Amino acid sequence: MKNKPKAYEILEHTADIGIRVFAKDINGLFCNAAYGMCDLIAGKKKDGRVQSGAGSITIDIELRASDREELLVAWLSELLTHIDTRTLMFTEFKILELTAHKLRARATAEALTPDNYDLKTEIKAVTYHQVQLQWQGDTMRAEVFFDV
Amino acid sequence: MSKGASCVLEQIDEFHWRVPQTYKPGMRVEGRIVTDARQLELLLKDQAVEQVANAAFLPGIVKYSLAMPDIHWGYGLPIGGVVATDVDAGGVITPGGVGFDINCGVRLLRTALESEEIQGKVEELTCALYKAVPAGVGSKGFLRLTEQDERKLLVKGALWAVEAGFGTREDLEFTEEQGQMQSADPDAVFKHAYERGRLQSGTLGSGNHFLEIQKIDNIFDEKAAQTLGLHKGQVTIMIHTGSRGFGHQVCTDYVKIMLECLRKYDIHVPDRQLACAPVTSVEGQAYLGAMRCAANYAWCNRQILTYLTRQVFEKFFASSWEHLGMQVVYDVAHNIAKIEQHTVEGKQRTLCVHRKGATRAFGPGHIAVPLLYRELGQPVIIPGDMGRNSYLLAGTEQAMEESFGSTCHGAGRLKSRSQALRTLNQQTVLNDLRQKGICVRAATKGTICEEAPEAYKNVNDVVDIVHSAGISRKICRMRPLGVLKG
Repeated sequence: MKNKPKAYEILEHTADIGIRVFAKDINGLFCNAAYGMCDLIAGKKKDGRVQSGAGSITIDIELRASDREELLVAWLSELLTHIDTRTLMFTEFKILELTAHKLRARATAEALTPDNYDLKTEIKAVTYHQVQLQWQGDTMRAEVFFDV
Repeated sequence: MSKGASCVLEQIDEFHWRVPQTYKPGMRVEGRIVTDARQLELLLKDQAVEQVANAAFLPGIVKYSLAMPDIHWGYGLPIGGVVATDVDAGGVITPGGVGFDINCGVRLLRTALESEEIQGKVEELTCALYKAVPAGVGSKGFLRLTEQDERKLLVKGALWAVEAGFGTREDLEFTEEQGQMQSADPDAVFKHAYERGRLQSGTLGSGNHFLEIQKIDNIFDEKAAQTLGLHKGQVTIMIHTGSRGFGHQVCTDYVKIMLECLRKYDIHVPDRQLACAPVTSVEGQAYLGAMRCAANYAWCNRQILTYLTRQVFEKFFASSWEHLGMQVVYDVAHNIAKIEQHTVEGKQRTLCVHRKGATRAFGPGHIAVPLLYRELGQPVIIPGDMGRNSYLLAGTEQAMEESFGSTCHGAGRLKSRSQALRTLNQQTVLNDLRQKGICVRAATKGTICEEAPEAYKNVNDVVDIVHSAGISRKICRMRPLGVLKG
């Protein structure tokens, strides 16, 4: 069976932490970056209570920025704010519209509780430090660093 | 990984290295690093020196882009960076020169307890603190604030906490800025910051933040220590935290605004995280107003954590905190930008001094230093890692002349968090600490390894450099006994 291509990898940073994200297209890249950030914050427990959709909520997000790099940071920052203020964790992302300057997306989330999740890292913010999006062959990749 | 700037470093003397202005076209001044040959080796491993060079691009920068010996790779400015810009000459302010955790800082409390009195009780006391002090990912404080309350808190800072019954006027006297930065502007703060801040006041956070029970194990200046009410063997408490999600969001919101300012004011910087605007611009003033709110939030936070700590000690020792002598020695910010007067090339100038992982260290006689300490110079609190030491230093006249009244802020990281997690074993770290007589409680999985002593430079080396270089001087050293981590 062919292995599923990796969605992201951890980047070393002396004080903070980064991710290098991979996807076949830019929509996938934005989704994988979001999954990567969420994985850094908390991991779903194997024996965690299964949310069958009953406890989940959807959040519609619309953002504008000057270019795709700034849009990526704005997207992750917006998700982080929701995680921090509403104590929730995202489980699914759907990109509805993505241009060089605009993003519309729908994100599904559930309660972030110690029963369901192992809490790992408090991410303070998403930085613009060395943020870049580029094609490498037929794979799109992005690098982004977080302040922790 | 780029090591370009590291290759062009020029040694000036035993404790100073230069990044020549010619290293990158666009540098307005040279870079200057306060360190020694041994520490220099450690910092060549990452991109910190490159970031010293990048900061030299900022419009209005005066003298040099400066870095302290605890310098390490950050974003925008390196951690340990100090940059001063001339406000009246188009100097800029950059949120990346302050960092996301605005007014991350340290408070030191003295006690009337001797270390022998708590021998055998430290573990129980640390557990009691662990139960009482919200810490770790997603922790919430006990305060439930309306937006109106929050706006008052942002203007009044630690005074808000004192007026609410969480401290005394004396606590404020021994806090930098008396715990209340003037000209804080709650109208310059956006909705998300209010939301993130509302439930996090009175929380420790995670990462390198901590609350420690310590003992003083070495006195370097008996007279100064006496003035500060400190002696060998005495139990002290150190609180290291900042402005929590509130400050993180203020920085996030304003970096975005400042990116627009780069275009608006035709400013060129090599890293988007150095996005900036002239201090006197509408955007610069708005950021200053919001940043001061975050600074006040942090001072209020450390005041509330002081209150919680005093409550735990009161219950544990069945005595009042006043009787236990739990007074504030001092409280310093190490992530902040301030408008200050400094003499540059013989002229008095109004500067915007960014200290990102650097501590104000005003010299003897400075009006900003509490009257009781004025002859000594400003107390400077340097937290170390959980297995070695922390320090109390004093600012010097040389710091005023050389480093815009600034010194280091801590040990500085050596290993990345993922490297620490990969190479260290939690139980081994805990056992090692226990053998040294240090009890640790951590709220978040992974913190013990990420924050292990091996992940940090030796704070003793860093402090020796700032002491020998003359930008601060040693008063006393503490060692941890009980550590609460987020």
